[in-house]
Amino acid sequence: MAATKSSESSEAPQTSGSLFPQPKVRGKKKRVSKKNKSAWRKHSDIKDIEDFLDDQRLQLRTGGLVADKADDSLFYVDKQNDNEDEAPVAKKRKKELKPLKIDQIIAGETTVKPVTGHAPPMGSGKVRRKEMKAKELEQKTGYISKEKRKKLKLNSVQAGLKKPQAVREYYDLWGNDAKDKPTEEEEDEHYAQVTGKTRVKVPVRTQTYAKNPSILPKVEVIHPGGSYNPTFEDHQQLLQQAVQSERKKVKDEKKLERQTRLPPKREWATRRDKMKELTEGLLDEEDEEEEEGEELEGEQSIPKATIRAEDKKSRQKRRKEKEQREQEQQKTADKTKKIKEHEVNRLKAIKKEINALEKKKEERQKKREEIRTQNADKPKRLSRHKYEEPFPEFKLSEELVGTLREFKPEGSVLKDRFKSLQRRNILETRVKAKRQKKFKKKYVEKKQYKEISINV
Amino acid sequence: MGRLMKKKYESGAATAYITRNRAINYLQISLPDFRRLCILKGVYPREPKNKKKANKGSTAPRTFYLMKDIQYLSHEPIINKFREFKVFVKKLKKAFAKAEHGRVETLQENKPVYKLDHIIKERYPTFVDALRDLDDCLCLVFLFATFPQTKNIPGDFVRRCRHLSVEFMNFIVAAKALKKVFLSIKGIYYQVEMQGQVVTWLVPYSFGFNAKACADVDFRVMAHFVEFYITMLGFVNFKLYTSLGLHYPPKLTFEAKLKDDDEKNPYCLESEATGERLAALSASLASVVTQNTEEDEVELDEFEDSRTLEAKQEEEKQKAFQKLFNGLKVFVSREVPREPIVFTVRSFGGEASWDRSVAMGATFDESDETITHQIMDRPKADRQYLSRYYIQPQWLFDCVNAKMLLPVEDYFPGVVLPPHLSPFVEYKEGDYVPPEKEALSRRQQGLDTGDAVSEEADVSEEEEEEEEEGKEEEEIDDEDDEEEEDEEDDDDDDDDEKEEEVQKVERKMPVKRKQDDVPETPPSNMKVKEGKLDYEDASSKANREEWEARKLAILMIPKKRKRLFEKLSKRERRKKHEAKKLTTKREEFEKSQKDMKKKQRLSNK
Repeated sequence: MAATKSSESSEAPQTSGSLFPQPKVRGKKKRVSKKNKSAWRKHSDIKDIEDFLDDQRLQLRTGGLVADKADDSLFYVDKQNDNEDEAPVAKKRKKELKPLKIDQIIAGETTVKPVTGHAPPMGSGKVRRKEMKAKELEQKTGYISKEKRKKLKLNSVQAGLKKPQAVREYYDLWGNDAKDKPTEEEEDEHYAQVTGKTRVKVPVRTQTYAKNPSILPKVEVIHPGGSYNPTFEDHQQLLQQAVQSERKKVKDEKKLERQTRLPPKREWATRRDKMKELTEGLLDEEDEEEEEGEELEGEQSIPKATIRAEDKKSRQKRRKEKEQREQEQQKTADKTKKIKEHEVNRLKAIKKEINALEKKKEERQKKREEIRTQNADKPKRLSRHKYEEPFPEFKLSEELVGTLREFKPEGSVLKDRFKSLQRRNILETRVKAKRQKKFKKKYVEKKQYKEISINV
Repeated sequence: MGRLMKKKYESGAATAYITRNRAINYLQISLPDFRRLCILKGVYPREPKNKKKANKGSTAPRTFYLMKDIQYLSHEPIINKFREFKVFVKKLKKAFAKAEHGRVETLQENKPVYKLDHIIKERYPTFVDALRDLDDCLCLVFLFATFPQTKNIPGDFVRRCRHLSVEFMNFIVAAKALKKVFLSIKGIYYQVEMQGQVVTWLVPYSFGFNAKACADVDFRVMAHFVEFYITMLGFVNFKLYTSLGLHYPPKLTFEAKLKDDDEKNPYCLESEATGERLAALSASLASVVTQNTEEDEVELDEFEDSRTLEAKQEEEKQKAFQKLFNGLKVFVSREVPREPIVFTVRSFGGEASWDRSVAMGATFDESDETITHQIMDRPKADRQYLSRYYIQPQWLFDCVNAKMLLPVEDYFPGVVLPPHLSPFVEYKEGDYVPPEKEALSRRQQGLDTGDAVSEEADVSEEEEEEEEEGKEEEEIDDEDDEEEEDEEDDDDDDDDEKEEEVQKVERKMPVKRKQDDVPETPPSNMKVKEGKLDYEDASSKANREEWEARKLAILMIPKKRKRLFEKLSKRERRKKHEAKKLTTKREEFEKSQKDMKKKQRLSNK
């Protein structure tokens, strides 16, 4: 039906709206047969219909059909004075308000949202089940599903999922805010409800050792002789300490040297000694071999003992041996039993023994405790390397200037802190790991280069 | 048939301890991460009682941890963050290698970060616990604040450390909590008391960073400690500030700010100005609430009891100590280390300033006539004002340690200073006490007005024809007498004390004199004294009786305890002997010094 209409309309003048309609040239109407479908399609003109439909689609894409729209949305009463509009300032503003051409091109025309994915048909089992679950969860826990959040245009903060970003930068860690937090039991319950599992128990750690791994003070104040302007005696004492530690150091060094020193020259190996060592066992070997050969021969000459029939144990003999063994066992058992029975009479002596043992134990314990208290302020052995006491800082008498301006500090606070941490068993002593040596670089002269010699 | 044998190393020490490598395997983290975790959580290696058992029969030295500790570590949520960070680094490397710059940017924006709040709360359940552990924290934070920001120090640690240390010092100034200062050869030791907790820390002198001196220190480990302590000190500072009713982050008072705005400074950017001003320590902090007048405390019911009276006296002494430098206006010359001096002066209620060209935050100029003391460390000043004392910096620190204002003349520029005694030494009975300390303690008790040593020195100086020392001394003596009276009056009226102190300072003014005055004729040392009758003293009699009683008591000691007593008394005697030795040594030394001086003088003549 529509097709027939269009064919008719194709005859209608296209420029009906123009002021000067061109005179129609009535040409000869071309006659074509439209006997079958393909011919019909080929020769019927549907351009205007397509244009109309295109226009409608465009309207739909860019804000709905114009025909359906209310008049108010399409027209407005122009109350503005045209002259005013022409004022240069207003013009300028207008220009500002108007979007740039380039922006218009980029902006695109459509207001229709793009199709996203394949949505399962509404009312299908999958969707229903999902919705039901979400609803249930929301009732139970107040969790708003992602879809619903999207629908309501809520972000995660508004939905109560996330806490709003830290508004207060500073807060009291030890304040009463802890009261608002849920207790551990409540947390556990919540966890169980949400996950259907019980929480893993976190081990509780006593903080006693963590606080005090050593009895030493956290900051050890330097000896009073370490004042920048010390009294004579204090300074002497400090120097004395330094001297002692220096002496110990020298002694240790000497010991090491002594242990690694070469023996005196007269004890060195001479050439003869070396020769002797090299030929050790070579010259005497032949004789020994001979002797060995002889021995072997001697061994071979002794005939093996033959097993005789009379040496075999008879049944009787075996039985008697067994009886004897059993008798002996019985005897020892009896004896131990007797001793046990008689121990009742030894009660006093046993008590004494026990007492003595306990006393010994106690003494040992006491001794150990004493050693422990003695070593309480010493660093423990926590790794392969022993803790080394740093050399005490001091100033020589001539280095003491007596005024703050000319005074030069001694040592480093960082090192002092580091050593203090080691002394207090907080850090284990370590030696800086040396970089592992990679393979030695090998230089090879290539043939091509070798052939070229400069001296030619 | 046979009994079920208990297998070795399946219980006891072998399972209670775990070696470090096994712990790393257990936690599935790398060794550096493990180290960091241990430092953050406060898990330290242990030494088992029986190493062989803990090491399953081997005697090789190893590092052990308690299995329980490691299990406890495995529940730490930070471990996940470490793993996330590892993944992040991998991704970043890949993006870099592929030159995907946009991806690098987004990755770096979403870099995983971890918070230490929960760990601090866990390690220090109460605020007092945190205060107790503040020594280490302060030492490291103050130390790192002096470092240059190098690649060895991660993040902006140095800036944050400086920030926190300045905040803490400002709090100490506001709370007047400083107790002791000791200038040692290593650095400056400070001791403060906050909420009943005594905290000591060490601050290095402000010299350049010496990498050689700390070559064998593991910087990474120390940085982990600092990372933890920065967070901790942040929380502690907040709590301290709020406890005093001060703004946090610290704000300057309105007047100080105004001054700041007036002073268009060329020192720093405008955004940094407040921070710098805070670091100058010269301005006071704004409080949240309008500050009540000082004496707004709850008045306790009065009980006539010796103990409460003692406590009261102690408290009053403390209060007086906090106001030690009240009314003092100190000008710091440019050759003197500014920060420690301003810190001490301000902590005891004084005012301090310096030349405007030295640093910003100066509150008054050198030409100010109301300045009472000028700290200088040169043998002689170029220009001198009559209205103020010129003294060396040690005077301030010695005053703090002595808990009283010491006579200034020992500390004049160019004078050989008395020794700077350590306030951290506690002398027991029988210990050798240096004469300077003895004189000081006598002076503190109000027994002696001028110390013996300085008197001796005076004598020698008089011999050397120094100017009018004796006159000066007398005047000072008078003042000290007044101070004594003050202390006696303390019990009755505390309120008047401040006024009195101010008056005292005013009274001191006329005494001041110029260094290069024309020497007058020395007063002769000879005097005619009134004779005294020789009474038998009642106290000496009592003493003698006491001594006899003691001797009897010693006789009555049973045989069982006698040995112990003898041991103790022997030890005491030895101590005394040593002390005596030292005193004789000292005397000899002084005598030799005097002889030297005499010889020098003779040779000069």
